[in-house]
Amino acid sequence: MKRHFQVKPKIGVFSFTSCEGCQLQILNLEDEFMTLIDYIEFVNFREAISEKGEDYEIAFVEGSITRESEIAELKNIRERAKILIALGTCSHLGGINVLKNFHPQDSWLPSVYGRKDLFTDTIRTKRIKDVVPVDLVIPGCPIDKGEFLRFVQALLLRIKPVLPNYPVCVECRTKGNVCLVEEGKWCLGSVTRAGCGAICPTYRDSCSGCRGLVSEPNIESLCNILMEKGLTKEDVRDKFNIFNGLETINI
Amino acid sequence: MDAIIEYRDVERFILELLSDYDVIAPVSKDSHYIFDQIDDPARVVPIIIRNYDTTLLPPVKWIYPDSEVLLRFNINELTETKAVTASRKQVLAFLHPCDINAINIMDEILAEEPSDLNYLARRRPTVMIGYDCPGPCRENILCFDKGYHKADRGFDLFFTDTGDRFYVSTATDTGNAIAEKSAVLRKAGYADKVDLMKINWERETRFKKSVHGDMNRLSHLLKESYDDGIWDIEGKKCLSCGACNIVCPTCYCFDVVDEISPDMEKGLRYRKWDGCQLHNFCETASGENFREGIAARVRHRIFKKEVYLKKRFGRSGCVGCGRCIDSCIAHISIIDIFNHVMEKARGHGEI
Ligand code: SF4
Ligand code: SF4
Ligand code: SF4
Ligand code: SF4
Ligand code: SF4
Repeated sequence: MKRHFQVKPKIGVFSFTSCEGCQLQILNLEDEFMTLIDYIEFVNFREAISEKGEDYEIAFVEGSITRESEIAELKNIRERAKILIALGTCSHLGGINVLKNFHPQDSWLPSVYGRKDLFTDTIRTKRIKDVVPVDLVIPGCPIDKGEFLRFVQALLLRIKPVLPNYPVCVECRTKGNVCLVEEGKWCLGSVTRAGCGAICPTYRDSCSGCRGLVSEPNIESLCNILMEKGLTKEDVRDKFNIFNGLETINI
Repeated sequence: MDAIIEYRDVERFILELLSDYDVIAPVSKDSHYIFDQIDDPARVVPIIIRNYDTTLLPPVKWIYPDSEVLLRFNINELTETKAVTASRKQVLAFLHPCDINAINIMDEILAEEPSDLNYLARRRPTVMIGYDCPGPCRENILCFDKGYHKADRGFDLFFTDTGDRFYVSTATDTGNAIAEKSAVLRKAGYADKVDLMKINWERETRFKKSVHGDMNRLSHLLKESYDDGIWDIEGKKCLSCGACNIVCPTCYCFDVVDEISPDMEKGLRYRKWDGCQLHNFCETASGENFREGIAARVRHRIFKKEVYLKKRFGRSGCVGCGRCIDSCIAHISIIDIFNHVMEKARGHGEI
């Protein structure tokens, strides 16, 4: 006999400052997506449906907060949702949007928009957790679609979804990759939360830490290792700033 | 029947194997080597004719894969739960002695009651072909210190390079059957056997010890060093990245995870490799972690191989392949640690 999940939980997917790639990852589930909607109901999901329902219990929030007006919108979502889940690095860590925080607005506005007086309605980038309490995080730039599916399934089964707390190196070595650091290159995989299947080092590109840090990263040791490879402390800091610019990282 | 095969016939021999088995053999990967399933012998032959250094991952992965299904279940009908084992006819070909010895150790550990049915199901139909390592293949190795640079059992056939051909020793009925069936093996003669003895003798002169001191005392000396400062020093460097566990041919710890189909009906329970260097390895459901500090975890890995397994099975659980040393980006080396405890004992006049 098939189990009936009595009520379909109502889900909203919301987007703040981002490329919307994480929303797209949900749609990339394709086959699974059609099965999934037997169990859940999307009431608000701009990239997929035109309805704008406000009676959602679970909110997935993509993007970071970079405009004053987004703060009230996010607080409104938080008030309505029983469970609020950060979707992707922008929302979880601020993501690459944080890079602007390291430079005065005057210096990057012209280089991004061609002139200084366009889009001046912008504030220093915030993670969503800097504005409202966040219940769960699906990390990654973009998120892993399988992880999204597992989170939804866990919520249906009323169990707490868990993320790996081991570093990317585990997945990287398991694949039999040659380590980039052994080859003299930089990589943040040894302090970054796994779950992406070590996709960057598998394609011979350094892990730049989009999934955030493991719970007990040994930053000091990694910093020493990368300095042996010729990086300065500032270089190492810059690497962390790609995605983890708002995290407390003592270098 | 011991036999001889010319270099030029090895390709043919591998083709013969391929007609009966899946063949797993060393191939090149990014200027290193790795075991892979092959269908083209040309990928393998040049590698075994010039010897290869230790592969990135050990061949035991093909008997103990990084992820495998243990159970199938239905989340609605618990009576439909079924245990799953998998196996296939496969040859693990051209394994260095250290890797054969590692599989011998795994066999012993995993056959102990309650035995590991999934491992044994894959192990039993696996044919093993050994391959002589003519001398130190890399710098950071200690197989010779441990006597694991040669293998006396655990293989069905064993290839020794004698210059322009291989001497093929047969050790089991399966090995004999393969040798007899082959059209390219000829019976070894007296002169061939003399060649083999010479090569075996010469090999011993090529290896050097990496650890200076009596390896028989190592277990004891480590125990005496339980509170030594070295663990904190190494612990400060260790990233808890688990690389040393993943690449080790005698690490067998696993975690269990469930996966449920998108239609919320069927489930698979997997085991996945885990490692004692990882932060959550000793975390229990209550959140208590009973091996919290990094230093304690570094010490545990070494004690596991050299003290605990040695006590259970009478020999070290580390074959000295050196993979853990080469893959540690923090430069944590069991050779250095062993030399440290030996040195300390010498300082105390113990050895
Ligand atoms: S986390 Fe990356 S993929 Fe997702 S929205 Fe932000 S920039 Fe796009
Ligand atoms: S390449 Fe990066 S992720 Fe892979 S093992 Fe090396 S440090 Fe770890
Ligand atoms: S390897 Fe690193 S940067 Fe690449 S997806 Fe994984 S966590 Fe992100
Ligand atoms: S502990 Fe290191 S040297 Fe020993 S068998 Fe494992 S990987 Fe090889
Ligand atoms: S490979 Fe080195 S840094 Fe990584 S867990 Fe092992 S000892 Fe620690």
